[in-house]
Amino acid sequence: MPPKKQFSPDFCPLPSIQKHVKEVDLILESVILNHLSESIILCGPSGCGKSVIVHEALLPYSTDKKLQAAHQIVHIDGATHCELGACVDAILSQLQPNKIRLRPNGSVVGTAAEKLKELTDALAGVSTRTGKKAVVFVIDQLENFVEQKNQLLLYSLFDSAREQDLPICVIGLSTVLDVLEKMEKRVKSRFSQRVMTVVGNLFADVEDFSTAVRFMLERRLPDWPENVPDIAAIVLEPACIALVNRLFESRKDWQAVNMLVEIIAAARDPNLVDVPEPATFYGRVSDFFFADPTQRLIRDLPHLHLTLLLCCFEFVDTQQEDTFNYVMIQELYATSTRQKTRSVKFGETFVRGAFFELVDYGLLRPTTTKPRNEPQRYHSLSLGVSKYQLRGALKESDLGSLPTDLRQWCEAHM
Amino acid sequence: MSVGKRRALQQPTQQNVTPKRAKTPENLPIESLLFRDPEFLHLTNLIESSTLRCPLYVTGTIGCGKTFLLNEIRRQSDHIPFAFVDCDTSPSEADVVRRIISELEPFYGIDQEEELDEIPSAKAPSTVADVRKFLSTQLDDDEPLRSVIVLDGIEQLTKGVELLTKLILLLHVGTIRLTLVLTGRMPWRNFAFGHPGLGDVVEFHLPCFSKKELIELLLLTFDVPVTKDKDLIALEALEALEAAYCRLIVDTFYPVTKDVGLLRSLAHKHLPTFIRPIRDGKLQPQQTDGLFRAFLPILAAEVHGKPTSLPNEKKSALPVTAPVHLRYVLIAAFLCSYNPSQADARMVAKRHDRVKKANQTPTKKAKDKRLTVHGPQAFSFERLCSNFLSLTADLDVKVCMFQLQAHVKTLCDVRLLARIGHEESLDHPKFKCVCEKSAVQRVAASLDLDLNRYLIDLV
Repeated sequence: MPPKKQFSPDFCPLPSIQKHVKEVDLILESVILNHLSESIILCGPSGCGKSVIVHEALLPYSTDKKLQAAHQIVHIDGATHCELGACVDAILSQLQPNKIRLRPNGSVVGTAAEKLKELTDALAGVSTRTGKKAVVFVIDQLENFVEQKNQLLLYSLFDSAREQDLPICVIGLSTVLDVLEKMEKRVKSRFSQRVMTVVGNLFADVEDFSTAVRFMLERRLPDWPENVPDIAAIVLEPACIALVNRLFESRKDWQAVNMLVEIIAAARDPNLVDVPEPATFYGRVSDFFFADPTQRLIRDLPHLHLTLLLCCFEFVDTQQEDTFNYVMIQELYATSTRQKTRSVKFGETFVRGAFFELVDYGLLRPTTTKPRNEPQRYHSLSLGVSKYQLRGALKESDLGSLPTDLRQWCEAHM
Repeated sequence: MSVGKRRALQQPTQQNVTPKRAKTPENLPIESLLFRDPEFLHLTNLIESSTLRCPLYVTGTIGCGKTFLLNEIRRQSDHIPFAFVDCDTSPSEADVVRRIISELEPFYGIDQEEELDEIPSAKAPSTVADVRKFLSTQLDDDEPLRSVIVLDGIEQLTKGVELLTKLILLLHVGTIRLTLVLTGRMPWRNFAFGHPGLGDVVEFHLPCFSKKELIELLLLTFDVPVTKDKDLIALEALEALEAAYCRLIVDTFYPVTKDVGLLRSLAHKHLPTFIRPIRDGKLQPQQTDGLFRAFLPILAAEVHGKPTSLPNEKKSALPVTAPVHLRYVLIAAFLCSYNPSQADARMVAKRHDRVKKANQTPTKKAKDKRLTVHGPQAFSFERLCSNFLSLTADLDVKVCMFQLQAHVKTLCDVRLLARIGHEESLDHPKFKCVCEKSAVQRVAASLDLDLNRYLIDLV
């Protein structure tokens, strides 16, 4: 009989996540209880809840003593075990920790081929030693194994399961959606073709999203003081509802929930008993998600830097040139300030420093091809800083202090 | 903590006013944390969070206090294993990894020398996998420590994207408890553009200080060297003088920089000049108007980048030492690059002193403006010779053609001229003058020429 599903307190019982857990649970049931061979890939961006789903699906099997003997879980991580040798070492050290011979540096003795043979034997040994014992492989960052030469590890696992009829379950977690397409034909044919996309339907509506935020907040702040409104009331604040709604419209993933919760938790002062003014508080939190960092950077720029940036835009606009070098912009700046008698004319040291600080800020990019025997050229990429961002930043600036021709250009084009 | 209280706690030592910015927490004054209480609290809470699973990216303009704020958090969170890596000094992956492990080892009670003695064949750590191994081995306790790695100035990293991708992947390894904090000047989207492996971060923007805050910071961190004269100067007058001086420095340089460290160094650089009349006994501290009158020309020279009129300061000797003909060749080359060839006869050859501004129609001026702004144009050797001979027509000593060729070669060698086309083509070579205008202006001034009078744009 399959164990009754009991979720851990760390699990957010959203219907969509429960559905995913049940799906993985069915696969585990067929492997651990019915001794079949299965495989599945969970796809979704980082932090969307793949690991939680697998963890929740495995939980009943890990806690039940009877079922514990019927399976063994092997965790591998493509981030750190992407080399074949290191990966097989990690598997062997989990499968049969007492049998393997280790080198002084911690690796298993033998060549890669010998290790693969040992792995196959070990898998067969685990299954036959004590009857049909299932082995569940949880492979994080699966895409790193797919990028391996010949995809030997995946091939060995799938082939062992098929040829020797072993109860092996391979659960791959990947952030790459088309990871299946990248598999070799021989690997793909041995895989069960079951791919679960987690991100697509994680939160059915904003209510689900709000529930997740509240659940995570309660988990994150277990020591919430009793004499202030509880988290449920905080989440029902109009400012918070507006923020959650806006976030749901732009980002519908689990990582957004995590980030929101972390930022809310960190923004409050644990030593302060009073809850801050909600509108101010959530306004600050909202800045983390919706304030444009480039605009904030431009607003913080000193006057000289802003003038030079505008010179660059004016140059591109009026001269119909894509690239420019420092001398051209410096000359344009000198021409502009010459026309304005009242403006402060800064020395070349400052102008040069300001120009190269703009490069440091990523607002100007050096061109990849440097002309021979000529100064480095730069361009302002629209993806780095666009006219719209510049316009937004200039709204709060005082254009009156700019040189006349630059101000006129700004008024005409911004 | 209030400004006054912090000021009272401050020990006015000379160490606090080091002009050069140091990055170690011991060398930085505590009062820089003024006006940063909300940011300090928020950032500390984020760093100490045990559930944060994505990197924290602290960004802001130069000198807004990113490094100092993180160093202060490190100093106050001394119970957390903290590795602070300055990417300026440790740009490669091996450097970063070695620094991380060496900084974390004391927190885990490991003596590096002992460790190496135990395993004589152990390889020095050099890859992120070594960091993972190191952090994984520290999991024996029931409650493993959460380590914090700070990479300061990630733009300085060589192959930074690859290294950061590997480090960010460590955050998703379930068995490792790690917080990764990155600092940089550019917005994260600009840095990570085109690199999907870098993923999302919590971007923490540190706003720059306002003018008022900068004055306060400068005033508080400012240890007045006139302390020797305290017996001569009343304390109140001294404080008023300090405040006026700091306000003047910030007001003057605020349009150029908001960097606290740079403003502090500028203030200390000019202070001896500012108080010289007091030291000489010519003025009293209360006579701020007189002090400003004496000081403003020097400050204006600093802002405009002109050499100051200080008696002990030596001017650059470079334009004077170069041969006269070489300097004329450079000026001729510059004029070839920034004047249209049709204008040579009018601007350089003759009657250049008679060209009046009124003669230029607006249309003509707008059309010619492209030349100066557009950067150097290519010119032929013959045109250079023509301009050179026009410029040196009034000189007694004439120059031979081979000397002219040698001068051109010299200028090409020192990268003031750039040769266009193949090096092998000796026939009809083309050049561009890649020297900056200010340098050529200095050279022209050494020959008593006004460069602007020869440029068609500026007539």
